[in-house]
Amino acid sequence: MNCKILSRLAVAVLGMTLTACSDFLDKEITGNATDQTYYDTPYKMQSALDAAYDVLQSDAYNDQEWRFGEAMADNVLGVDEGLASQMGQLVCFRFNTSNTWIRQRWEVNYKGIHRVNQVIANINRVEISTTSYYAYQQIRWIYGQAKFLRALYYFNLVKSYGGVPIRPETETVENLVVPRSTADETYAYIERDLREAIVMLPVVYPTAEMGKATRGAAVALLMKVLMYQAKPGTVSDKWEEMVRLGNYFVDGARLTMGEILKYDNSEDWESLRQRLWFKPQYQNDEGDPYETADTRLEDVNNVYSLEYRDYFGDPLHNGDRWAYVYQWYSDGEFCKGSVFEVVFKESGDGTSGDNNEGAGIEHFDVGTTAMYATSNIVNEIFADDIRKDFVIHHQGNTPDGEMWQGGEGRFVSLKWYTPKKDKPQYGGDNGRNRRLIRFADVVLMYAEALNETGKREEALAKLNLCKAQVNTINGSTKLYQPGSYGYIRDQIYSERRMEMAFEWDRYFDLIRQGRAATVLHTFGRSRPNSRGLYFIQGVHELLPIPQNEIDVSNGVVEQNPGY
Amino acid sequence: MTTNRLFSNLVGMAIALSMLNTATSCSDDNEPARTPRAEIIVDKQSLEINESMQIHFTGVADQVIIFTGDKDHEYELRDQSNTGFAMNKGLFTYSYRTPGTFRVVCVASTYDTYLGGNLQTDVYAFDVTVTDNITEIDDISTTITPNVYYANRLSENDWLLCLPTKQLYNNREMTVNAARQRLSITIESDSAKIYLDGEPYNSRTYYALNIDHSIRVVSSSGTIRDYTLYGMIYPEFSTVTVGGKDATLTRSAFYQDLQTYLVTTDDLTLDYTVEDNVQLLDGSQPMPPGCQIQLGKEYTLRRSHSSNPQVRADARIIFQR
Repeated sequence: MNCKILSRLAVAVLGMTLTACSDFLDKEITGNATDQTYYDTPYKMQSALDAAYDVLQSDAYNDQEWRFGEAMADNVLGVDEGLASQMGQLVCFRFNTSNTWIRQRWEVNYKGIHRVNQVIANINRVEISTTSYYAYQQIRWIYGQAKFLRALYYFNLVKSYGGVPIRPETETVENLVVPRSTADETYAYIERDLREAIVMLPVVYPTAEMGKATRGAAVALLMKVLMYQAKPGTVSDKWEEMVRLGNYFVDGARLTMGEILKYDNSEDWESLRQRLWFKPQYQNDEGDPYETADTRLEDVNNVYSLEYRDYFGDPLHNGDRWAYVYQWYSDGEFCKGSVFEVVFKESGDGTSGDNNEGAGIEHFDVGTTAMYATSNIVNEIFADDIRKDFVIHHQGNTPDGEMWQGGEGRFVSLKWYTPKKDKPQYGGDNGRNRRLIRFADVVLMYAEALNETGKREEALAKLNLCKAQVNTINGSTKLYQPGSYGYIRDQIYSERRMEMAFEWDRYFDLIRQGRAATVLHTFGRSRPNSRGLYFIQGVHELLPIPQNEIDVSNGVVEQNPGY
Repeated sequence: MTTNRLFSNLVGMAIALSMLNTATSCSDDNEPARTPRAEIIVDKQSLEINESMQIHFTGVADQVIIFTGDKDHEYELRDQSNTGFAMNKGLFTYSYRTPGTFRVVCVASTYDTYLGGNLQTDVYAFDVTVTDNITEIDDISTTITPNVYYANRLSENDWLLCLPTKQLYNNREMTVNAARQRLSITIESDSAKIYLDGEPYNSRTYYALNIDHSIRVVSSSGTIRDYTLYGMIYPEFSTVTVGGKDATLTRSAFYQDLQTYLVTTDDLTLDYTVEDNVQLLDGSQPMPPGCQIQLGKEYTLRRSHSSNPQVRADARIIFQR
């Protein structure tokens, strides 16, 4: 009897519980933000943008940046070049399609793209409570930065893998698998983002907002994107446009909104303005600017300089010979030669487990080193160039007096060093910003484009701008010499290698110059483990698509040739 | 049955069940090895170098190894440090770097679950033929310090290399000895053979670059392609006067085809002599000796080839005061 009562009771209780659950589930969640309700104020949009910047700060991002940009090339020797590790296989070109770093590069950049797409897809949900010009400008700047970041992430992908899947801005379960676009389509997508970013972004930000992507950063990145599409020695309208952009960036030449957008009247200008969050014309107050296709973009050339000066324009390190390398230290953050930086800030509270506080950017500390400079770059490349004293470090004291004894044949770069006064209090942190785009890079890209378009005198003049600035350190009078196309080009390549050394760009530079096989094979022949000799021309210019992407897409995402 | 007893019975049953579970999961009973079957599907057995080959495993195995048959991966030499590649998830892709015929061996292995004992293997082998058919020349150039002179591609099989008689470097004029220079021929194949005028090409040999050469590229698969390299020298005036006074030639360090003549008189009557196959042109109009020139305007001094009208070396001429 008791059993019967008990079981009936249990059934009744179960029934009640089920009913209650049903009601509970049907209720709308109140007070919680969802992706449908969240993006409605500039403040929330800004926080979504912060999440997109956050990927640049992540250890996962920086940890693969140096592996590909630097460790695979010929400027460095790694401490892990054994074929037993994924890293060793990568740098020795003995990797397979399941290499963990190749997958990480893919994943971390798509993570960035996913976060940026949240901003871009939802930007039109923002409601502003005023019709002031500045309210629109605030959203426009956020939108422009998102476009810049998306271009940067896709550029990282296309220069590594060739054409990649272009993710829809709004992801749904139905469109999880996206086939690869061609390299041309991917580059066109990147270019469009950058062109729009250029007209939306400001030349400078208020001091409190330092570190956000500026117009200068977007123009510089567009120049690089164009350069990677053009082939040295081949006539291309990409080189021609690089010259126009360099002329604007470095020389202050006129450039209009219509020119940068390649505006052809196919879209109504006012619709385009409103799409890019310029204040609608019908709301314009007297005194509000009205931008047209002929509106000249504000100059950026007076913001940057090759001189070694800090953000305020004062000489770095009191203008002494160490000023050059202080461009990479905390004193030189947002210095005149820096166009875009990944901003790091150490936590300062000793919390562990954070993975976006700059641990990945410190490669040379007393006792820990991930890579060494090759003796080749020390002796043959820098030769008598004064930069060798600052960029390369061997035995003895660092600029701030710290002792470092690397041992025989051990050279490191002071660009990777963190001065004692900037050193983080806690392990795993580093407050020093990473310089991602520098003005010297812009000037050298400009010089290269001038040479490729037959303007050799001007190319040499720009090249010597860089060299003359370096000469101010030691009073040298040595400059680059006039010559034919090939000679000027080789001198630019040589200067690029010195000026941009150890900034995680060498490998991709070699690939786009079309001489990776030649250079890496020569390098491989000088190494006991033949690293570089296994680079296969016609195959390794592109990394393989990570195998798991091919597997989960059931082959819809196709592999690169040769893998 | 009281509620307490019901509860204790339930608990007892749960403990018994969980013990049974534990006993099963801890079982170290051996599962004997299955009979391995090395069965594969390969998408192509005839490949170009660097072309991907895909192998899908369709047989039975606990582990699959592919020996690709090229250097360091030969099955027959597996006891001499040659290795195979472990297949992951039944798919293996590979491309060959050198041409030849390679024996691909697929080794399917099974073993007991207990300590991997009773290893059994089944082997399947097939041949792939890899060809290198590249005969395309990417680049022809010569480096005469400090400059690199590139040949222009005139057509599919014709290249033209023009050199100056002198070049300017460090503000000094240096004679260019076109009759004895090294030649660089770039081709995206390590196995193709290149012949220059019937002799094997060598990047360290000196060649006369002021004359024509025949180039033959023979791919490793035997395909032959013939090219012609035309060697020309940018023409110069043998003698030149403007208004009866000698015009002084200044060269450009940047452009080796550009010759600027300094003129000292107001009379702009040009008199000159040139070699037989050289002609001065204003656009396409001939400019005979005795014509009037304009300062700053660019004229063309054209050397024509004796047998091929498409081949010509054009020097740019500018007169300046």
